[in-house]
Amino acid sequence: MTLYVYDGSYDGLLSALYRALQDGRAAHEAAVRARHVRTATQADLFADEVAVATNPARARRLRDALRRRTGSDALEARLYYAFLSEAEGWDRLVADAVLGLATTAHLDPRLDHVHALEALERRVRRETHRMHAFVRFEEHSDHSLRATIAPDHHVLPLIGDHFAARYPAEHWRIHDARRRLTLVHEPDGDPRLQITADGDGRTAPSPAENEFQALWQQYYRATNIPARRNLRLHVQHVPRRYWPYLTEKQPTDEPPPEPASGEPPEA
Amino acid sequence: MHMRPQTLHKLEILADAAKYDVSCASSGSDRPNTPTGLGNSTGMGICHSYTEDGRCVSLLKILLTNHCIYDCAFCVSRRSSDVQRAAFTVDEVVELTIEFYRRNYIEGLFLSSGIFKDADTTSSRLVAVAQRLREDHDFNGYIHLKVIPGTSHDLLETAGRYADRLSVNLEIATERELKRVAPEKDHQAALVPMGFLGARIAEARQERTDAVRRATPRPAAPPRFAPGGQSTQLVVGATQESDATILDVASRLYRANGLRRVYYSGYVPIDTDDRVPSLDAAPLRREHRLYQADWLLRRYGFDPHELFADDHDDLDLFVDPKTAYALRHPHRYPVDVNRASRRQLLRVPGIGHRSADRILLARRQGTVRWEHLQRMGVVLKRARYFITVAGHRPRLLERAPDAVYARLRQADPAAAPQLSLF
Repeated sequence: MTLYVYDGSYDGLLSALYRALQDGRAAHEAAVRARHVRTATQADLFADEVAVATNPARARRLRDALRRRTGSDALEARLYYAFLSEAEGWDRLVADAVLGLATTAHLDPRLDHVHALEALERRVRRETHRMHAFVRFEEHSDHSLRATIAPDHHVLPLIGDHFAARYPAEHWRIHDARRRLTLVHEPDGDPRLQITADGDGRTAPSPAENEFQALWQQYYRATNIPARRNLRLHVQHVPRRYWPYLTEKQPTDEPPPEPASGEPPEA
Repeated sequence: MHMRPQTLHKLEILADAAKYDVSCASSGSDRPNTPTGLGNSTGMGICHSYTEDGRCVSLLKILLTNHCIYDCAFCVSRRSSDVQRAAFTVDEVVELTIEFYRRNYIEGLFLSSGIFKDADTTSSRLVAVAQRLREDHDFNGYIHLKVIPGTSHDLLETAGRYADRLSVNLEIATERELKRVAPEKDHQAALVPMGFLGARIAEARQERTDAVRRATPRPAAPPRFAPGGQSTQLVVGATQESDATILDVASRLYRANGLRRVYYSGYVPIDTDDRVPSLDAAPLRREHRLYQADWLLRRYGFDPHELFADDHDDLDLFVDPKTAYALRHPHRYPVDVNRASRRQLLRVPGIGHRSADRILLARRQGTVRWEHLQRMGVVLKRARYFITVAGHRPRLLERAPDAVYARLRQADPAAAPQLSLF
């Protein structure tokens, strides 16, 4: 058994697996560990340790090889999703898949680690989709749009293109409060889209912002059909952990409504 | 911007009045953004939030006005109804749409209206909103416009240029019942625009496909016409039609007009008119079964007549329509998971398109066993009675239809979960 130690990055793991393949290790003969992870399994204790430096060129070659082997990008994407999931043991699953492919061209959906990888991908995709939905921008006085999220998985790298296609002419930023990273979009920037370690950059909301938030909250209240209320289903769709960042879920002080105009629109 | 307190109150009235139209789909269009524009509607729809009753909030769904000259018994905005009335200006709707969209609250706008003078006057207002959004604001988000029955073809033509989806509501499945609850209306006024839209949508789509196939350099694509297609809505429970009648009407509409979706809106009794029953609650379970049946028609290759027993015109409320079908045809089961065709697998309760695909893939690698099925997404609670697979062979007694019905009926929760409608 050989224990390959890498730096915790995605390319780092691929570099380690590249090395394991060079060494001719099968899945049951190799283990992987990120350098900063201290917990060791029983197998790790009796293994030879090899520290592998991250080598982007080798990582890329391994990715290309996986693509050729399986004939599509799907597997490589799945492994990357596993990394972004930040789930414990993600690297073990990726190692099993990559080293397993040394002997077969397809991942067998009946195997445990294949199932687990699929599940991780599903979780990350699902949260990506949720973030497409649940990001709430506030307009700031400099007209930029700013949002804060705290996702379970590291989805910031996955959501940028979606919002860049929607708001190509806007300055916007999405701050991940859990990871203290910010996705920044500058229409004239180069690159237009990047992830920085800056905070969300304090500016004040624009004068109109409160009004539009109040309008949205009013809309949200008005669309409810009390006769159909089903909170179990509601929470299934909008889990409580996302509520702190959703405008419509904030407590409101309802302003007294003024009478609406009772006239039909002019023909 | 001192108009906003008033806007706030209008929003309360006109969002409330619009919420009984159940469609909230924002998918299936084909409108990419421009480099300086706002929004797109290309991907799958996104539900930005959910109401406390679990419905998807994808679009700003409002009425332009709830003033109405008609008096339809099932409609909360009917002339004789004692509700507050309000009307948005075109500017207000445009601003709300743009500002909500910028904040990522919505995928776009679903604009409907009470009929305040005649069909064309009302429709031209709705079209004006869409036109302003597209032309003045370079807005490429999703726009769904309600088509008022009786609208002229010229206006429909303009509407199709700006909207992603158009819908004409048939509301009541049979003309006889429609006449009873809405004497001023008839089916013809809805079916004529529906037919026109069906033809124009198909034509425009064909032209665009042809243009792409033809020659390089690629010529400018012909204009879009409602690229998200058309849909309609049927109100369920306000009148006497059976499920068989409703699904028969729906499947004819799918065939004749190329509809993307038929929506079934369980009638919510509020402020009840004498002409409609005063129910205690909306018929949610029935609505749910209709959606399941509709799904089987569109995605699972079922014919309407296959969904009903010979002597029954309503869907079974206690088991889903696919299970009911399987129980009526015990000789076609159990299905051998390792040998069955895709079509046969799809007729098994608890097996859907995705799990069928996984089974077919896994079969190429070796024998599929009972313990593999759950992780492939098969719902064993239902499927177990209708399949054989390595490690599982239900005995005759176990799969006797009466026994299975009793079991699955018991397992069915008291309140059926609602579908998320997108």
